[in-house]
Amino acid sequence: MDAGLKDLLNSYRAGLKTYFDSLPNDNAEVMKANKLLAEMESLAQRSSDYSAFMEEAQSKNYFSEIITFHSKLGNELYKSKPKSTKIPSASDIAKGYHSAFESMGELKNDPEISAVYSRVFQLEKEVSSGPEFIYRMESENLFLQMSKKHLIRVMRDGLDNLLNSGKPSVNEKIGIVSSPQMEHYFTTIQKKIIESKTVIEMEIIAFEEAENSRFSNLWDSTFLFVTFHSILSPLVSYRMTGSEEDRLDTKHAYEFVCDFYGLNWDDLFENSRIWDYFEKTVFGAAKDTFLSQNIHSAKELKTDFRNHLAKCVENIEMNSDRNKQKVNFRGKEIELKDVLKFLKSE
Amino acid sequence: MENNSEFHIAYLKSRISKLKENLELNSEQISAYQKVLSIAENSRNYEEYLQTLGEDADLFSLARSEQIDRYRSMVSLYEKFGLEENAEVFRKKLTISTTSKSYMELATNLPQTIALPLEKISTEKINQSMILLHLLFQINTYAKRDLRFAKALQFKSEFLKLKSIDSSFSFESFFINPYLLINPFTRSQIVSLKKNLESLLGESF
Repeated sequence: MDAGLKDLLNSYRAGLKTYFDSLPNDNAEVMKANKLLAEMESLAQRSSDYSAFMEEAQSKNYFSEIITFHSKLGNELYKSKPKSTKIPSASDIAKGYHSAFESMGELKNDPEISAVYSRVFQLEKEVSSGPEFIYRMESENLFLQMSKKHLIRVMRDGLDNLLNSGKPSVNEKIGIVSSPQMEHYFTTIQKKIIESKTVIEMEIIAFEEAENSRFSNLWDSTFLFVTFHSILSPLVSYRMTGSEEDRLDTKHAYEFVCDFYGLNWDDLFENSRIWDYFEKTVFGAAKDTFLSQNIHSAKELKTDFRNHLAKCVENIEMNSDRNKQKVNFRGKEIELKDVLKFLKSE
Repeated sequence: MENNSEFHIAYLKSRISKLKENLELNSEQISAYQKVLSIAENSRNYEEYLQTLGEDADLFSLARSEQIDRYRSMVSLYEKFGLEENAEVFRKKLTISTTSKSYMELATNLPQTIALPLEKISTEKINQSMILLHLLFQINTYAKRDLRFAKALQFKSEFLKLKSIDSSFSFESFFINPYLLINPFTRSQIVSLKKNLESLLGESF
């Protein structure tokens, strides 16, 4: 038999050995597992080489079958063990909480998390039995608090990371991330988690808010793409190349977007969502580059872009039409000016 | 010994009281805890209680009820967002939880991979509809007609890709979850964009 194959089969047999040692030989699943191993060994003897064995074993589904025996035999072992009637001690139960706390790394130093676990470990010493320990944990809401404090800390870190993303120093007021919907997500979820009464309630809230936030992000991304990037992309190209092709694309895009949404250059930048994005992400992300071009603020950048746009179109001051300044937000027709408000509240 | 019974009963009562604060979310757990409480209250001591519980001495019925309530809520949650594939994942988990008879069975029958193929379809549908919304607008913003036409052809190709994973998809789908949740266009705007698309391609959608 090929040496590599021998090692492979030995590893499968060794993996199941614990179960074989603990279960009777005539257990139906043990017999089936031994039969499969014997078939694999027989195939290995007959195979001309490693790859021939692998090909045929794969076609016979041997690998999937052998893996499922780990759970099947584990289940047999579980069924064979007598159910204990011994009353567990507080320490028996608390073992899991000690391991969970020790594996938290830096989060162990969070005062709120540490306070909850300290109380759990204090109770472990105070009580005289496992049932009393569980009752006291439940009556003091410690089961819920352990999950809650941990999740709140994770959410708080998420919000801090988002708000500080891209900031060169703590004194800077503008980061590179403009994501009102994500700020809304982190603040809402923290509030709702604090109010939740059970672990499941907390989990469902976490999933629901995550989905809500995912859809708001996707919506916002499409909104910014059509209202703003449609114009900005050709305009940035024109600013760099000055080519006739880019000039015409800028003109066409600007006129189409203005007509479609009933707005003009100033309306666009007066939109609070677009301005927030422009200031934080467009200017904020490339601030050093713009500084080297003697542009010191988002307002100056807006003026610079406007000057380039003026070379592309005959009339920047298109007529505003409030009736056209609408978007669909989750089935509601809302005004363009209210986009930021909805992203922060829905 | 008797103290332990009292503590355990007090624990069960406290759990039931908290679970009852949200009847809809916790219905299965309330029923499971009440059953265990009834056995605990009718047992003379802790040993008798465990003996009466029998196979359920490890309180698997409580763990299972928690899983059932959890997965039932997840099905409703994803149905609300129109994420049918994700809801299906949790329907399967719900079925497995309902029929499992031990912790081991629950762990064995709930492989993590259960979600992957279905969730992938769900993600593809969302991504594909994002591409369509972008293209639908882009076909209007280029100066050259041949570029606009190329974008329109790309739209058609991406539209067919989405139809291959969601055969019911149409322009109307932009107003039904989950597509509605990422669509920034009003009905009249979609009508106008669709008209421009059809005019470029010379065919109806």
